[in-house]
Order: sequence, then structure tokens, then C-alpha cells
Amino acid sequence: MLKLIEIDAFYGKSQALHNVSLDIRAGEFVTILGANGAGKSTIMKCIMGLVEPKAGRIEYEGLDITRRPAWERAALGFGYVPEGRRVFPDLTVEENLKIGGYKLTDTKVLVRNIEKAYDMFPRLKERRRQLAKTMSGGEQQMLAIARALMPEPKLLLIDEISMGLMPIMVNHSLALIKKLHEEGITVLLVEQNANKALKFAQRGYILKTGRITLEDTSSNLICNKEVVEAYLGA
Amino acid sequence: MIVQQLLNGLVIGSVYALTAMGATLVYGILRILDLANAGAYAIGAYAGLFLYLSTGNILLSFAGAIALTGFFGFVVQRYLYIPVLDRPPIVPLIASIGLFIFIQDLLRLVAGPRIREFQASLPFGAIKTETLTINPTWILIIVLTAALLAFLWYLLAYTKIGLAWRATAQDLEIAKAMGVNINQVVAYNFLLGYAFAATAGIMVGMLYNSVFPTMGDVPAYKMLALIVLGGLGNPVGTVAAAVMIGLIETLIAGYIGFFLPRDAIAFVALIIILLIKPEGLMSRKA
Ligand SMILES: Nc1ncnc2c1ncn2[C@@H]1O[C@H](COP(=O)(O)OP(=O)(O)OP(=O)(O)O)[C@@H](O)[C@H]1O
Ligand SMILES: [Mg+2]
Repeated sequence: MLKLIEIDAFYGKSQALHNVSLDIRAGEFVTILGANGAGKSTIMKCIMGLVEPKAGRIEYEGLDITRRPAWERAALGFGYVPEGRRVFPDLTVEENLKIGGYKLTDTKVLVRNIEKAYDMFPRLKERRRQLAKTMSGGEQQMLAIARALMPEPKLLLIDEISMGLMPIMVNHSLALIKKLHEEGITVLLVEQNANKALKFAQRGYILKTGRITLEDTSSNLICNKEVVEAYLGA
Repeated sequence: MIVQQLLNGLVIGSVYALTAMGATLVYGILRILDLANAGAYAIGAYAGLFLYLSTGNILLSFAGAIALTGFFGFVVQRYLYIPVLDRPPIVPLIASIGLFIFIQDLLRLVAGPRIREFQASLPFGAIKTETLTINPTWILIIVLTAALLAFLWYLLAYTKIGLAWRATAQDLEIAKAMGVNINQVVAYNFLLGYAFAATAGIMVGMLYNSVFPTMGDVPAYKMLALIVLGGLGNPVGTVAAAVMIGLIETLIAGYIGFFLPRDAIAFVALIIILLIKPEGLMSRKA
């Protein structure tokens, strides 16, 4: 479904990704693990078109999308939950959802999807007229997820759902994502919390200073000595 | 007398608001100071004047000048700003200063350096009461400004493109990821902003009965003061700051007198307000 082929990416002169290749098949739940600064968010940004790779190709459902502007990718079926939530602070909850569904041309579908989001997160409905910046961190995370689901994505890209959330909220969010996955959405999850990520994902990539060093099923990664020492805590 | 002065201040403030609005919108989304916006003000004035001299129809000259300058704004963003957007902010700033100087010299070459008169007859007369005379140009300025700002308000608050503009101003990267075509938002922004500046230019040309190549100089500096005062890229803040400066200037010049030229008042006000409220009148930050 989504292929990254030998991607190199730079910020100015410093190289953040070296020859990164990923292959995500439709219906999978895949995770990328790596230390701070390994380049996980950069991979997500390359997929979304927010960072342009210097070399390599990105293919989505057989289409070469490497040079496509970011705003055209939303319509291809990507749902993006960025690192640090990044809800629009001075827009209301409902306006945030509307921007999430910006590419929906049919107003009826837009209204229906907003209602779906409210069914999934009743808290957002209560606060629909509230500015996003006045909401709690957990509520903002719900909004970021709901916003990503607005265009009915086929592929959900989630960058660190656990950041700044209580453990119970993390479990809650991951359970929700698992449910979405079971309903047929393909998921790529970047996570600091390797234990939890491997519990939910089927397969994982290990990223070290911009290079993929390992790729395996979650059950194998959990048993891998190196992985256990580096990411799972002994 | 006081009512007359207040009205005068409102007229001046209206023109300031229109002039600064384009640059405010641009700063709001791109964090670029578009000085060349004040060049659009002069272009608009010349286009309006020449159209009026050749057709004698003031409506037509407004429409033509606005369309022409708006189109110029579209060209400027497409071929000047968009290509340098991923450079450090100093690059677009210098590009805008260069364009501003270019516009002034182009106007000098095409239309000559001398001051031209702009005496237009409007299709309505003055409003006169016992104590008060509102001349037709004032009426035009107040009504047209109010209409344009109301239109902008409607656009930003109630339409899809307005929502996209606000989202882009808050987080450009994420707006892009959500499917907002940033190039389109920027294009509309310049189209509208330059059209506003052109309108202001024509009206000021009529108000002072003079159009000249460097007429954008003082508005350029004032525009910067107003953008800062208004809270950097906040349209409502810019309108508030513009009206306030218009009133302060007029009242101080009319009643108290000031040891500096009238145009310096805006900057003295800027310094005082920034000392009291460094984030501007209406900050966008929470
Ligand atoms: N906007 C930027 N400008 C310059 N360098 C950047 C930028 N964003 C990231 N980097 C650098 O690129 C490298 C990879 O960053 P990235 O954000 O992808 O890491 P990450 O794996 O997501 O880390 P974290 O777990 O802390 O989120 C880091 O060395 C970082 O300093
Ligand atoms: Mg990251």
C-alpha cells in the first residue's frame, strides 16, 4: 500500500534519514521504534509531504507521490496525527474538525463525519464551540485523532500518541486505534513507549540515527535481546 | 468642531486600515513583511487616475484599478514570494524592499516625477448640517472602507476559504497536511490585499488631490507600525490600531499641536504603546 524506497532526507546540511525503506501492506498495523532524534517524525513528514526527500521514492497504491504537494495527499486517504497534537489553537473544536475534512466536497458527508466524531468522543461534542487551546491535553489528543479521521482515511499515521498523556489515557487511545485497525484502517504508529507499541502492532521497524537497523514481527522483536536492552528496559 | 475632527480622524484611520490590511493578512500566514504592498497603493492611485482621465467614470476607474492591482498582487506572490518561501525570512523581506523601489521608479518613468491632480466628481453631494459638513470624498472613504472590511470579515468568519486562512495563520504545516492548498490561500490573500491597497491609494489621491510616485513611502512606514500595534498579523487588531492612530493624529494635530511633523505621531504612539503593552493591542498568542 505504502512504500518508501531508499529515502534520504535533510534539514539544511544535516542528514536526518539515510537510505530508509519501508513497506506497509494494506490492513497492517506497523510501528517504528527509535530513540529521540532517530528520525521517526521525519519519516512521517516525508510520507505527508512536509519534508521533501533529497533522494528515493515514495509510492502509494502504485502511484509515485514523492513530489506531490502535501495538500493533495490528504485526499489520497492519509490521516495524520502529528507529534505534539498540533490542533489549531484559536479555532473551535468543530472548526478543527472541519479543517480535518477540508477535502470533502460533499457537505452532507462532512456533517455526517463530524457527527461520527462526536459519537466516538462525546467530550468533543460538549466542547464543540470551545477554542482548542482551552482544552486539556487529553482532550486535545482526542481532537487530533478525530481530526485525522474526518476524511475517512485508509492509512492512519500517528506520531507519538503517548506524549504528555496519563498511562490510562495512553491505553485508552491505543485501544481506540486497535479498534479502528480492526475496522479496516491501515496504521503506522510511531511510539516512544515500545512495550505498548509492540503489544498492539503486528510488525515493527527499528530506526537508529536515521537508518533502519532491524525489521521483524512484533513477537520476534519482543524476544530480540538487542531490542529489549535498548527500548524495552531490562 | 469636535465632531468634524473625529470624522476627519475616522477618515484617515479608514485609509490606514485598508492600506495595512493586505500586509497584515500576508504577515498572518507567511510571517513576511510585504513592504511592496505600499507600492500597490501608488499603482492603484495612478491606475485610478488614468482610468478616470480617459473615461470620466469614477466607478469604472475604481473597478479597473482594483482589478489591475489585484492581478499585480497575484503575479507578485506567484513569481516573487512563492519561489523564496523556504529561504530565511530576510530573503523575502529584501525582495519586497527591492520590489517597492522598483515600483516607485517604474511609476516615475511611466508617469513622470511630478505631482498630478486627482479631481474627481462623485455621483453624490456633501452632507451639510448647521454645524457639520461631510464632503463627498469623506463619505466615499467611510462607506467603501466599511463595506470592504465587512466583506473581509464575512470571508474570514463564515467561508471555507476564510477558515483555511485562519488555520494556515495558526499552523501552516498542519494546514497543508489537512489538505489546505497553501498556494491558493496565499494567492487569494495577495489578490485581496493589493486590491484593498489600491482602493486606499485612489481614495487618498482624491482626498489630497495629489498622486505622485513616492506617495507610498509614508504609508509603508505607517503600515509597519500598524501591523506591530495590531498584534502582528491580526486583522481586527490592525483595524483598531488604524482607527486609533487616525484619531490620535487628527486630534493632536488639530487641538494640541506637536513639535514633530504630523506623520511622526504614529511612531511616537507606537513607542508608547509598545512600552506599555509589548505584545501589541491585540495579540494572537494565548
Ligand atoms: N525542523 C528541523 N530543523 C533542523 N533539524 C531538525 C528539524 N526537525 C528535526 N531535526 C533533526 O532531525 C533529526 C531527526 O528528528 P526527528 O524529529 O525526526 O526525530 P524523532 O525520532 O521523531 O525524535 P523524537 O522521539 O524526539 O520525536 C534530529 O537530529 C533532529 O534534531
Ligand atoms: Mg518525533
